[in-house]
Amino acid sequence: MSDSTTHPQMKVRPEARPAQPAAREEEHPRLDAARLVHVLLQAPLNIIVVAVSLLWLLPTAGLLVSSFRPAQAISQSGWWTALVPPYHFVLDNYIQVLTANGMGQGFINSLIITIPGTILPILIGSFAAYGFAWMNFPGRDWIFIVVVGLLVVPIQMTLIPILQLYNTLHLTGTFPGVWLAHTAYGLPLAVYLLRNFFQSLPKDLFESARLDGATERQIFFRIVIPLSVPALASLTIFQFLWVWNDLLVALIYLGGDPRVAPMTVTVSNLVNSYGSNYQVLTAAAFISMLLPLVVFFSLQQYFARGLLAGSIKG
Amino acid sequence: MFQRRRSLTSWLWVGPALLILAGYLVYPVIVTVYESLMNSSLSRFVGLDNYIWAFTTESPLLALRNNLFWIIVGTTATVGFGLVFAVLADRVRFESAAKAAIFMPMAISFVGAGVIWKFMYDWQPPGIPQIGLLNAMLSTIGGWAAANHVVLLWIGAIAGVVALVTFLIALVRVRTFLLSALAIIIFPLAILGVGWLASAVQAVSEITPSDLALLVVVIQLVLALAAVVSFIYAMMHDTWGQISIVGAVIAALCLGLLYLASFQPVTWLQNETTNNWALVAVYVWIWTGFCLVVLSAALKGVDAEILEASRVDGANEFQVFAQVLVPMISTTILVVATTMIINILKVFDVVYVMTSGNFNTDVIANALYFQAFHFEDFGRGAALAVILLAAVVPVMLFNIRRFREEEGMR
Repeated sequence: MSDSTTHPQMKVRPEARPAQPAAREEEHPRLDAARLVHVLLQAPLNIIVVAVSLLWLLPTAGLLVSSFRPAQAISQSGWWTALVPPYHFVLDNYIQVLTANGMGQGFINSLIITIPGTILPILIGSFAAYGFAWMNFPGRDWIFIVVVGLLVVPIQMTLIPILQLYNTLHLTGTFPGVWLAHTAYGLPLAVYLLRNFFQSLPKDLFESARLDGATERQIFFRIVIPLSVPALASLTIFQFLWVWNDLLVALIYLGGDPRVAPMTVTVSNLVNSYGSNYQVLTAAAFISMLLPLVVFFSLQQYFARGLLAGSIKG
Repeated sequence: MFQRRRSLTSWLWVGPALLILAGYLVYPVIVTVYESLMNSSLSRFVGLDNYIWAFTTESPLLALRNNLFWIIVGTTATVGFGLVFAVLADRVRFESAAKAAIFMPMAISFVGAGVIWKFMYDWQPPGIPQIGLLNAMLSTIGGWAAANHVVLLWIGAIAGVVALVTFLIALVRVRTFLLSALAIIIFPLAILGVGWLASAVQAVSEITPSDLALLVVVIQLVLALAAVVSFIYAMMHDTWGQISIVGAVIAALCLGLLYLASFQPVTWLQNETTNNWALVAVYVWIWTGFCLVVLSAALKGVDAEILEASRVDGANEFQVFAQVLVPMISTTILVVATTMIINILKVFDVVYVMTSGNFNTDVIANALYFQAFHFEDFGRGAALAVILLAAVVPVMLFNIRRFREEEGMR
């Protein structure tokens, strides 16, 4: 919020101010008309937002319809042709995915991998982001730049050296091995995004807290974390779904062991064992999408305006 | 003494992250830099040979060029759409549903997204029913437009003239230097465009597709310019400007439809004029949700009172957006743009799944993958990875400058 003092000043038109009280008085009797005008002005906005949303959903709708069609029909006619009678929807694709060997275990494994794989990088990342944003130590800016620069490292580049390391440390095929890998791959973005949000908190807050004798730990847990909830929520959503949908890291570091394989690996085995039968992917994509969407909607409430409102003036 | 203890405490905060990063990312980078100086089987030191190969051979150079195209188009589109949609969604009641729609592609696993876009871009020879939505839709619309081309030409011409006239009226009413200067450029173009249109209407039965294409390009250019200017003007509450926009949109729509009259199904992913755009479109479809969610979180941090104050001071919505909202979340915009540039720099999945880098769509990360894991030339693969790392330096330097400014401000 440090920007608030520097934002470009709006020119105040001299005649605008005196007109203000008059407008206030008129407001009351005209309430209904004003509401009508408001609704009419909102209409184009609503139409644009709805239109863009529908456009964005169109490809996914195609996938949804296709997931209920028999394999043969998918490759012979467009998915939209299924929307006119005679309807011919089947659950084959879903049944095939849900009854596949090890799917239940895969779901549990996915959860075991994803929950620590989401919490760890955000926790460790927010510690580091706090250090980079509000502490002074030699080389701080350069170290931070290197951390952000590591975003560009392609995961494929790290696989072989890390796998060799894992084999000597006996971390291959274990959950902690995958947790740490996901933590490492998620950290640069977490540190970068969170430092930006922590930095934008008002400086006075930290100064007065430190003057009151608060320790860094207290400042972090009682001030920084509660005020950064929208940022933490958005990061949680993404880290969650990246780990949840990950196939590469799981394949390499967990190997083929079905006892630890997440859902993505089970599904990919299913597709391979049926040859080029990609139609099971349509159903699998929807099943695996459900949980990230639940996370998204349940974190929506933290995207509320005004979380900072009380703190700035305080 | 006190200073040293403070410094020690801060290492405790950043330490765990740095340790993990050192093991998982810095160590492989060092290994890669070393490997990039070795031959294909990593058995002999070859100096800079792999880099010389990368900068003198056609295929890696093409990948570099494509990456540049990706960065420019992809970053602009994801960050731009994300920002505009975050602001628009902020004002509607169904905000979380609208945001979920844009976010949804992010939640789909990559293999799923590959299947989805197969249903969009699929191509069948003309005459056979199209399975791809894009080709099916454009063929259907094109058929309809071909059947109604006379009507479309007339509606387009009338709407265009209305747009032009109302636009000129709006111009005259503004009388600012800038707009007059624009008018001097636009007017001859507009005359030219209408002239083309008139001759096209005369020769309605013998229009060739290429004539139409040129006509459409010229007129749409004029209308786009007119629309931009009149849009700004309409923002200042002028009826003429608004009429002009509507006219321009209708005219552009009619001309676009006429252009489709000669549509033949396109092989979106093989055709070299469309394929890179088609791939970037998939990427934008996926990643706009990321930009939207992060920028939206930042917007929620902007104090509503500041926005209200500038509205009371007489700023219209566009000014509030450009002069208050954007500057206030500029750091977040920079952060999101930086993240997107870096993500796009190492784009791999979209290209690998949809074209494998064929038909001139190769990008560095894909070339890297093929060098290392298919051609088993680890030296060249590593060199490409190091080039990728080096490419991020200018972006980071820009960030450092920004940090310094920030530091000075608070």
